[in-house]
Amino acid sequence: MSDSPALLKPAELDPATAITRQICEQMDRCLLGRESLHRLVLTGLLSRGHILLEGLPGLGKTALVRTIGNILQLDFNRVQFTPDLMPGDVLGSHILQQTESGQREMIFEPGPVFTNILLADEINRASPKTQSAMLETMQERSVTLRGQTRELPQPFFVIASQNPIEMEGTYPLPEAQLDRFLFRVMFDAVDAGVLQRIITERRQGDLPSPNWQASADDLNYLFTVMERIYLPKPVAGYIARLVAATHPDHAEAPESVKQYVQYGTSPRAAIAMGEASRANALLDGRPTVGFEDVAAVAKPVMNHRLILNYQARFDRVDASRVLTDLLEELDETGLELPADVSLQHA
Amino acid sequence: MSTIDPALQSFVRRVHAMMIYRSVLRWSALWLMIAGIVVLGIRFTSDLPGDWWKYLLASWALLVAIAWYRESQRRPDPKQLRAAFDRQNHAGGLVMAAAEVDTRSWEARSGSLALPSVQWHSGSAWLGTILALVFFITALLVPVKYARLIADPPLEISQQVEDLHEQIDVLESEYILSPQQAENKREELDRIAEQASGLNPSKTWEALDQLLHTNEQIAQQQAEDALSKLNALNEASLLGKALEMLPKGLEDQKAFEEGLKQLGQLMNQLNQDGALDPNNLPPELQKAMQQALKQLGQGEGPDAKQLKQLLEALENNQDQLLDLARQLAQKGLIPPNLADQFQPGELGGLDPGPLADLLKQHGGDFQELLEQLGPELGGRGDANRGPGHAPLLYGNESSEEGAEFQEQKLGLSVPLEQAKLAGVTITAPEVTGGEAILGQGALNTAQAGGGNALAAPVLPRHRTAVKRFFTRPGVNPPSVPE
Repeated sequence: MSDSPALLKPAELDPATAITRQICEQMDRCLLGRESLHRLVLTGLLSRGHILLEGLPGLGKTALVRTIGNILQLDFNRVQFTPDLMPGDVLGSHILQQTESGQREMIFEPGPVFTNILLADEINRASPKTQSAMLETMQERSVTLRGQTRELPQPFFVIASQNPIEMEGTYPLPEAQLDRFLFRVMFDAVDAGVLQRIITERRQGDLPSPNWQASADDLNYLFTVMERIYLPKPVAGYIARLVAATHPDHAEAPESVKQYVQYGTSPRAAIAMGEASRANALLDGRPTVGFEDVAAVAKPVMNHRLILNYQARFDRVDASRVLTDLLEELDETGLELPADVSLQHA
Repeated sequence: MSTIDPALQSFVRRVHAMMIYRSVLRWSALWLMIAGIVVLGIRFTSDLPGDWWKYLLASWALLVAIAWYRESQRRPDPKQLRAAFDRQNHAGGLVMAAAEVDTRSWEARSGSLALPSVQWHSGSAWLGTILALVFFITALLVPVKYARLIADPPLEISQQVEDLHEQIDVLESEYILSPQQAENKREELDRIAEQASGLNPSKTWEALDQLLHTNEQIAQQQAEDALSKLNALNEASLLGKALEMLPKGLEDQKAFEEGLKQLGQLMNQLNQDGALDPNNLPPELQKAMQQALKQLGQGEGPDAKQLKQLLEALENNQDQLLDLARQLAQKGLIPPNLADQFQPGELGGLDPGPLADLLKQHGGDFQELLEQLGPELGGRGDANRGPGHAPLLYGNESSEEGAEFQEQKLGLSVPLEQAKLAGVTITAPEVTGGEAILGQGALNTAQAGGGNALAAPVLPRHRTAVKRFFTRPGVNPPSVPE
């Protein structure tokens, strides 16, 4: 055990937990009725992952991104994706300019992607060409133009949104690009009580300013602690089995997977789930990842990575239902007890 | 060592114990069913051994041992049990991490970990075990008397066996069977009685019939020998009595001596045939008879006293044979008609007084006298024509009026395989022309010498066409049959 990595001490973890708690409190204070969503978005940011928000207009997607940027004191840019949006409009372009010496040369004008948080609003309305321009930025966190690669500012997150209705004239994101999003988060409507608070407390929809902001050091500290959250081997095994079981030809695949899934999730999903589970454990103030952390992030990680077949469309089965079945039927521990024997918490 | 480990080990033991308990209970149901069937089978066929419960307990202990061994081999992976322990305690991976990293700094914060309970839904197993137990107890207590009757109905042959035993006793007591032969027959009879079953009674009855038939054969053969001896004894006794009554005149002396001579021959013949059994006589009579036989063998006649003793010995032997016949008939070993032929006294009911006169007339030739009287006396133990002649009557001849021969359809001809070979020639057969030697039959008018067997008649309206066909130049010779 002496060769094993040292586990975080409570004294090391507690400050990080306090920071995450502060961030969540500020987000909850600014945006009403979105506590679980705030936690999920923060989990994604701590995992250094990109998030795809899916919901109707007017539900506060932009407000959420703006609030996060404000709390974390990060740069924030918003790009409204349209069909005529060109890659240069996002990444930046070279402009012919005259220098002071009178010579003319191509000067790079950075696009809105050079920021910490980029809100790609209605990303599915842009052409595939422009959507593909985001691939390198999301994966490599850099931009290569005219043979020159430019690093994006760190941290860099893409929070994209897409409208589930008005699909006419849109370009659905290809699987390769969907796979680069850590989470796909469904942005549901808030209930009437929350709406009443919004009406009374948010005149003109103005967001209140956060009364606490995280510093760059806080953010770096969070990322440092994230690196030391311990993932036990049984949990890693569970994640691996979970991802493998999304493939219909796998032995542990449940019946719904065999019936409705055409292609399972990629190894990138397993990596994403491991990172997201670590972040979830950090938010819970634990130095180790448990099965409950995996269960908390499994659906947002995998629901946009599963490719369902036509039978699922006919039966009106979505990825969420398939994943629910998968999580229920696959035992976390792999313990093969007889069906009539169960373990109960004392 | 982590503080988690003791609780974890308790959990592992608890899971293992539960799995053993589960296997034992499930297997016990099956074991009770099998034990019940075995007990039922044993009770149907025989009786349970006195210490049957020891075997029962030993087999159950073996079952428990096998269950323990099997579950020990199938014991879950400790890592998986640790993970399950973590999950059940909502430890957030801390218990799992304790196996890989040092987690002591967090154990105080995690508090005491509760031991998860292992629950088995044992309702169906208990129900099965209880039902199996009820079946076992039922198998143990159910009255199997009637079941045995159904399984193997008895065959009541005690009377037949007893009769056969008595027959064998009689045959042994009469020295017809040797003690060893009698014992063998008794053993065979006991074996038949032991194997008698209502499921297959014919087998038993056939075996008993066979034994009875053998006894009857032996007894009948012995009875026939005894009857022959009895007739000889009767003959000798009659002659002896007649000689005793013969007047002792000068002219009778020759008849008396001739009679004594023939009596001596008869007695010697009887002695050689074993009809005179000295063992059946009192000692003084045995001595007298041996003396008389000795004298008779030397051609010397017995005196009056010896003749009297001889007659007494003959009567004793007659009685012995009669007693034998009576016992055999009483046990049903000989048929009644054979038993009826055993008659005491004189031969053919002849009175010795007139016989003495006849002897005197025939000069004491008893054999000649017997030959003359033979048809009247009946059997003498040899082949005869029966008690009387039956005339051959040729009257009442059957009438042939109205009698008819039954019609019978004969075959067409002799098949080839039944044909007879008339001869073989090494030269070419002689050609006799168109006429064949066909003999009689359906081909009597047929022509031999080749050609188609089917001789279709040519109708008049076709004759011209046929003629044209056969008269084509260069194809057929001009001779065309009309």
